[in-house]
Amino acid sequence: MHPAEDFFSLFSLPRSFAVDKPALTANFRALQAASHPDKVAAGDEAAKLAAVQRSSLLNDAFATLKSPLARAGYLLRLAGIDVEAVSQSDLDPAVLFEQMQLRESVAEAPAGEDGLAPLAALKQEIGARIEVREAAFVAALEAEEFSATKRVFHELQFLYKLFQEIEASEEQRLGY
Amino acid sequence: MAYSEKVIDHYENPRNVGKMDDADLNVGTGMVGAPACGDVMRLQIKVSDAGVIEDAKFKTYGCGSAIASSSLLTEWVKGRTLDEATAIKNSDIAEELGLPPVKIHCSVLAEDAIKAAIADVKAKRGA
Repeated sequence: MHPAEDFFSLFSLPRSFAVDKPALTANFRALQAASHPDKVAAGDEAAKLAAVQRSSLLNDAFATLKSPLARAGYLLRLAGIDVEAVSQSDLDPAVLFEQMQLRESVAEAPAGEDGLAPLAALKQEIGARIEVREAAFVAALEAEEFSATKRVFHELQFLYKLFQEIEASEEQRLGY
Repeated sequence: MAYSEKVIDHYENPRNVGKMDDADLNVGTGMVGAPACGDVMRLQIKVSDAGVIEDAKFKTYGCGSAIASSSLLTEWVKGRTLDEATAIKNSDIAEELGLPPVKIHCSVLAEDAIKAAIADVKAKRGA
């Protein structure tokens, strides 16, 4: 990929955390249709391979921009920040403490369907927290305070993971 | 992915799960996390005046390898001096538990936790 052609420009979108989802989906579908490997003339193996690679890139780009967390990580990577490399000094001790407490609350929810109400309340609390922290992420990114942005990103990783854990616990209780 | 028998043993029968009073000047607390997996680990040590770790407790929310790494570490550090405990490497944990390459980071987390707990008790005593 040309360095100038990041995932946002690929879908003709501005490079920002807030994303126009209908435009993202519409542009993705149009590009995917245009580069579909079946459109390549039979026998042209090089063109077929290029189309497959293009299609895979589009899928990857779409998945990255569709998920808020993946999009946030991608914006940091575009800013030259390695989000894979995490040292404990990148994590806020207060966030770890809070995560410990939240995980305890999830673990302490009563077994079976009795646990559904407390889990729903926790999920709502975490969902609200995610919104607040996403706003903080955008503010820190716009201010180009990258170490603060990275910290908030890692907090969001914890929050999204916890959200998923609660959903899994809910599904298990409901016997899915 | 198949867990080794040792990992399963620590996962099913974790040693030294619990919490110590963080206000105690002889207690050091290490709180660490792995945001990509959502794991959080709290490891605490109680240190004698002679600098020997008398007791260790942990609580880990995470995968089997993270739980096993911290459980094993609490067993290992008991009876050791702070310097001896500092010398424990994540590779020792990974080797003992037979962790596969994709789970090595769990043993790194445990090493980070004991280092943080040691630094905490040293800071408390120095203060």
